[in-house]
Amino acid sequence: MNVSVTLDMLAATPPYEQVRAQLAGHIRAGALRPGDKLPVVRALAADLGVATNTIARAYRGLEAGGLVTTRRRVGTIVQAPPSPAGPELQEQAVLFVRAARSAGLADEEVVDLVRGAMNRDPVTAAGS
Amino acid sequence: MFSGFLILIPLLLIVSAALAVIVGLAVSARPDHTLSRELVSARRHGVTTALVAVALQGLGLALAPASFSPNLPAVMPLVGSALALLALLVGELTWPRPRGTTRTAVIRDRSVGSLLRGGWARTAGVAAALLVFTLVVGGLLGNSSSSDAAIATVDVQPDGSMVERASGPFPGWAYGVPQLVVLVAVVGLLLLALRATTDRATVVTADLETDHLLRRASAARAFRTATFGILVTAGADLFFGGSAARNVHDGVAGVVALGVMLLGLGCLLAALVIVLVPAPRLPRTPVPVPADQVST
Repeated sequence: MNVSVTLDMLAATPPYEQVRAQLAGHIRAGALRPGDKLPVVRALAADLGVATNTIARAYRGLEAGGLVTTRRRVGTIVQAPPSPAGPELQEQAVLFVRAARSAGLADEEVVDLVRGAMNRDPVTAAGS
Repeated sequence: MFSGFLILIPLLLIVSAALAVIVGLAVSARPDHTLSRELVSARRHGVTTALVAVALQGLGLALAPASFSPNLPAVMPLVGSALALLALLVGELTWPRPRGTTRTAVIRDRSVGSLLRGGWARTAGVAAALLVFTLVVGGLLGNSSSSDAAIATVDVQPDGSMVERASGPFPGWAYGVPQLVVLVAVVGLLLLALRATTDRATVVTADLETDHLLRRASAARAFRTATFGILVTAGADLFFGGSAARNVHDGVAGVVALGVMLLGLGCLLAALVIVLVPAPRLPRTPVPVPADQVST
């Protein structure tokens, strides 16, 4: 399976955050596994037609979140394991996203919907 | 008259082979209408940069006899390669440019190492090693009292006096040092071109296989350009060096010198053959691509 990143240049979310969020999603979903190497900053920046600083900032964000580690002469390597959520929960997430997109929601609105649901559930919110 | 024919026949053979290769490539090329607009553009870009590179290479060779310094013709093939590699480097740095408001990139690690494998890289490595070896040995042997661009022997006359016999041009340090300097520049430009080829954006609508093939084609053009200049230089050094050595050495050394001359001619012939070897091309019939490998 090919893992890809799609950048919407007209979206309100800045490009570096779009890249960071999508890569984080791939790592959490297990599409990118520990030990996998991310493309060098120059190559990904060229593929997406953005400045190298944009990708470097996205990688720094992933590193700050403990998802990847950058080693000199080796590159940026995935270090975080996939989310402990089982395949059933991941399938439910896919179904939810599919339903939300079918309803005409933009991706940012889908994320807002999830955040709203998290805020409305005080029991698990308190436990986290 | 007879020697004119001797030069003309190999030239005619080379030109005929070149024409046969060009016609063969044109006939076997995949038609434009079976390719996406971006792949047609990629192919045109590859052909254009390759032609510019060949023209610059040819300019380097053409300027060699007209050089103002006596040692300059010896480096002009390598200078031509350097200029051609510069053109290829600029071509890789300026193309393609992703456009549009939605852009997709496949997360896949690319490294220069993947382009440093294969026959082209090995040929370039062997040619460079041969040139360095030739220049070092030539530098150590080229030591006449008047010039280090000549080879000499000392004959002892019946009356006990010593007479030096010298012959040139010989690839001593006077030729070797400038050639080594330009060779370093050529290798540096080759590595820069390969890095630019690795890092450049993926051609939109190209699947992973096609994208890799386009990068390998660019790398092959860079290797071919460098190898041509290196082989021409090594061939000329070996031929003229062997010829000069034959003038001053007899016996076994003279036979070795003749062998060196023939090796030089072989290098020059190999350089012409390498120019005719085409870079990897898109297959004539499209290869079915799995749906999950199609980038958008």
